[in-house]
Amino acid sequence: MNNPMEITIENLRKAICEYDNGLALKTAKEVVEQNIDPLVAINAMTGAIREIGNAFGRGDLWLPDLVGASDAMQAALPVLDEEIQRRGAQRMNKGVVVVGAVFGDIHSIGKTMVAALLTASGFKVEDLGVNVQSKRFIEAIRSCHADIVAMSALMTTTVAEQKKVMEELKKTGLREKVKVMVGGAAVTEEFARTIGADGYDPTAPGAVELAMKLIEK
Amino acid sequence: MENYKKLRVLSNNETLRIHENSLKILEHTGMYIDSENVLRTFSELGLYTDIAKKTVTFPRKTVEKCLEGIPREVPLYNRNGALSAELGKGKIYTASGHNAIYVLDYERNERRNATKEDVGKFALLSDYLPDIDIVGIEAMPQDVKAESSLLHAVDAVFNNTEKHIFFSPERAEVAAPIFDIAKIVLDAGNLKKMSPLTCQLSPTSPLTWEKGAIEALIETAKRGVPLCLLPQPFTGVTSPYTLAGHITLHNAETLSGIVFCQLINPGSPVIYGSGWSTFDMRTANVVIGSPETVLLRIAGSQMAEFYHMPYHTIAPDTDAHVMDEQLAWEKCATAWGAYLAHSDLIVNGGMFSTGLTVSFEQLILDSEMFSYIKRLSRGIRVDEDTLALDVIERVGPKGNYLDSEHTLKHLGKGEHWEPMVSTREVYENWRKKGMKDIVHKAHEKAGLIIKNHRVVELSDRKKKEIQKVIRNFENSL
Repeated sequence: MNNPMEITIENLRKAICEYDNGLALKTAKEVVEQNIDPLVAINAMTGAIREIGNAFGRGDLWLPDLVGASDAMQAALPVLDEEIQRRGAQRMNKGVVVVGAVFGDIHSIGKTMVAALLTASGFKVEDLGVNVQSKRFIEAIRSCHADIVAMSALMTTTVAEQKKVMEELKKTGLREKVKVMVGGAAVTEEFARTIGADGYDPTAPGAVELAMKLIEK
Repeated sequence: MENYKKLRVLSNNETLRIHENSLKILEHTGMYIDSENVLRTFSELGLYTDIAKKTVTFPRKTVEKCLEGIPREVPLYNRNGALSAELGKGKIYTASGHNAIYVLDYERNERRNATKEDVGKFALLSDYLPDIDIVGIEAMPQDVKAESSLLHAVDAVFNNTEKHIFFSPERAEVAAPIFDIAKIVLDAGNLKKMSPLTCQLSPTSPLTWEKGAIEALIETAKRGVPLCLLPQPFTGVTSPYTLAGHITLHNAETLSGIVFCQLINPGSPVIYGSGWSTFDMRTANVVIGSPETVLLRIAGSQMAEFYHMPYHTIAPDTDAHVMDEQLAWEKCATAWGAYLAHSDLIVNGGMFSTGLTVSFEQLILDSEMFSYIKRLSRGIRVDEDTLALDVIERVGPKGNYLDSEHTLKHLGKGEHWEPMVSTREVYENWRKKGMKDIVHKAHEKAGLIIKNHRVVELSDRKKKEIQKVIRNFENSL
């Protein structure tokens, strides 16, 4: 017989698997009310996401499935994160990633997908949004103690900004402390290599795999 | 009959519903414009703007009035000011291009970044090929400053072809010097009467005009340069996953561009553009060779027909990365889609890999494909002469038409298409000649053209002035 705690955790998993943001948020609040360890709740969610991610990789599910599940998890996270802080605990995360579209670029969908999928895969993500000046990337990397910075550029004119950020990283002595990954329609493998980035991937799910590889280095 | 009937995939009622929904979207939701200045300009021109939300909405009457005023035909001129195409009169025009990043290296057969020299060579090939009417920017040179890449590309193209050029800037600061270069080449004070280039611009789906694009639109419309409005939403990402909804969003965005142009410069030439793309939800990638894009090419042309304006689309397109059968059938299907749609302007000769890579061989092959569909579009001429009743009766049973005057009269006059590189020989002869496949033959042909074809050079004065424009632009960065 399932006890109330198990039922709540099961409902949370269900919310993720059914991409139900409302249910995810409601159940997250129940987790807090029922004094369930929020870290257990988060593990249950990332477990569900991992399964969905694997199914996507096998070709059994679609990109909207992955995005839907990530969105549901993102709906529940703020409530759980707040509880974690209140308890004085710390959320284990795979690493901290600063994400943004470079200065001059307002294309947001791909970047937002990457941020969502990274969060769902257990990374702590600081999404700086779009049109991000190199200064802001540097500040965020410093203040978040980022392990990875992920930049996107979708126009051939904005892709040069990624090079600028690389130069700023070197100037401020941060280059060794953070891994750099780049993406976006205007970015190529060659360009990533030329500017000295640590990795490049043209798709959102690929970006997550790349982040996993980079965090292990 | 000649002048084949265009294929339809939408009924008249369906076209009307899409149009009506587009008007609703423009009236109630509107477009986001990332520039307060531009918003103010359009507010003064009669649109409803919300500066705080950065949106503009379009009264129905304004949209309808603008649509009434657009020219039904758009003439295009070459570098010498001579008429080279008339879009909207029923003839198909085909173009090389457009904006790729990689080149499949001619010598090494490896993918590498495109260079300015490549762009010049593609233009030279395009200049030679009789079935390339208009020359696009085949690739964006990666060996020059990123910000001035397009200026260098346009420079390379103007120096290697006399044909009309097709280009797309990302912002006004780049468009303006390119228009200056066009004036230099034409030796004219303005481009209104005979523009040697057509500009292509895109909103950012859904329902957004970025600062760069909208400012470039204003610069283009002001000058009366033909403008190809080309939204490019991806199904299920930046537009509805369903095709009818996708067409509607595309249409609304196109209408917004038309209205902007007509308000800035009433009667300025516009082209209904399309780069139909769907999004593969398994691989998270944009595709342009899917059967849906074939349907969309045809549906889009019906919307353009509804508005009585010339239609542009992309073809032949493929998502294959090598010259295999997938490449061949996707290119064939998409080219046929464009042809069955009776497109006025078809751009993308030379591309594969979802428009990221180009090669000299592919341009030769796509030119062959353009040639094939142009023959299709000429149809079957039926008259006294072609019915050849008297010839049939004269030659009679057991006769032979090879030596008949009728046959001789029609040789080489267009009744039968002649390929440039396709194989037509019997096996034995083909084997004796080296068993070359079409890619091999295209490779050889490309080499010969680049080696031997010459274009009249621009005068030293024009070349110097163009370099000055580029230098000034780069110094201002």
